[in-house]
Amino acid sequence: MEKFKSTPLFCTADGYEILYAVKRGDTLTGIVREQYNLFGSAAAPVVQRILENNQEIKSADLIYSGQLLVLRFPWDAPEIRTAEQDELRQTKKHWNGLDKPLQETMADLAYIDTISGILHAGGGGATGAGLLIQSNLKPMKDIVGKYEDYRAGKITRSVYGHYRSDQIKQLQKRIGRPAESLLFKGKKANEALRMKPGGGPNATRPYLGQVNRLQKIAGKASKGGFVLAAAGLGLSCYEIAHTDSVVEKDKIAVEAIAGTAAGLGVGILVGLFLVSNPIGWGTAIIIAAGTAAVGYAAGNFAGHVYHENHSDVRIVEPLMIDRVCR
Amino acid sequence: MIELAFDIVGKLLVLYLLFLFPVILLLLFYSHFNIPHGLREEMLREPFFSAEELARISAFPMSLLATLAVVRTAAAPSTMRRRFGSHDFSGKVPTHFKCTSFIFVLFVLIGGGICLLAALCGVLLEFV
Repeated sequence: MEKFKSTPLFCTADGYEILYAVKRGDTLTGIVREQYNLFGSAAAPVVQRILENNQEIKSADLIYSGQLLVLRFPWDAPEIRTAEQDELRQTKKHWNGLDKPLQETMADLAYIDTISGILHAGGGGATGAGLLIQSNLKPMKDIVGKYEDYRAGKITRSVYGHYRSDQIKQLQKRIGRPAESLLFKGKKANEALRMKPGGGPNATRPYLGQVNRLQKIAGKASKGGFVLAAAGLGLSCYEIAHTDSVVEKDKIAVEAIAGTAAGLGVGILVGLFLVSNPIGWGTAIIIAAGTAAVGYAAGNFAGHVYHENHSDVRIVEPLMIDRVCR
Repeated sequence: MIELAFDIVGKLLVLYLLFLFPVILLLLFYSHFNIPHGLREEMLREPFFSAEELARISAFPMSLLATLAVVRTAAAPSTMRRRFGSHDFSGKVPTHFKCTSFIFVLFVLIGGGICLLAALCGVLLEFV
């Protein structure tokens, strides 16, 4: 039985396809085992089919985390050829054209989905999440200061232990278990945030390693947010350029503009709420995902409203969007 | 009934896109470049903000978040007590800035509400 791990994007009577974001440590045979429950010699033709469907992969050994793959279910289903399918491949192309570290970070921040609509609004969400992670790093760095005080004999072991335990409990409370698991790769915060047993000159290294890793994720998420937003708008541009119907072109433009405006509007609203108190990661990630979803859904609704009530109003042509999107 | 709701929210969304959203952006940038002299330095410092937060919001576009903090304090000081404690900045905020901040916050709340309604309708569309 195949394991179903992602939303199917396009279905026909013969099967469906998904976009799969490669994680750290993934191999093609591992993906086949996980997604299709096939291994050994049974996995070989599936790996071959994945390579055929994802021709940018030069060798089965050369995939990297954050890269998007199209997976077809069942693996031997005939190729699905629809206009949406073209969009799926363009989405993949845009994504795979981003900087590798950005892709990796976006894959880590699993709330980012990969269809074009979500990309518009997901940009704002990722930016917000980056900012919020950043703002929660100070308490974690303070633990290092206390540890150094303890090593220098300024405070007792129990005072340090109590402080560390208190800070980590606060952190866990703020971020919640799902975000904790995401950020610390399945571990609990108190397991991940540990000094080297036995002390020594490099005792704080593993701990600081974790803090630095989170700091990098925060920076990349902020930067990646803008890239994603731009990629999302680029996709709409592509759709406009490859659509013949004038009304459809206008509808796509309305969806893109309204989705972006709604995402920004809700982003400002969320920003207004967040600035009043110190910010927790869990809340941040949930709100970021919510903001992305709001932008996407509002964009869809705007497209519907346009189609039903205002389809006589021309948008792409007077604004000369089609001259830019070729 | 649901058609009527869609119709109303549709009109509100058009209002948001054509009027509220441009005004929100305009007011945001107006506020950003017209924060009263000295107020930024007074508010955006430790211990109100952590060193990490200050570093982060020092450059555009993240500095817009700092603007939001100032604007919210000008519009509704009591809602920022968690961050600023008992510090009262209201005497340092000119009346015109208080007015624009209040309008900005009001429009953001209304606009955000419309976006949420539109998103809800977008979800309902899938089932209707």
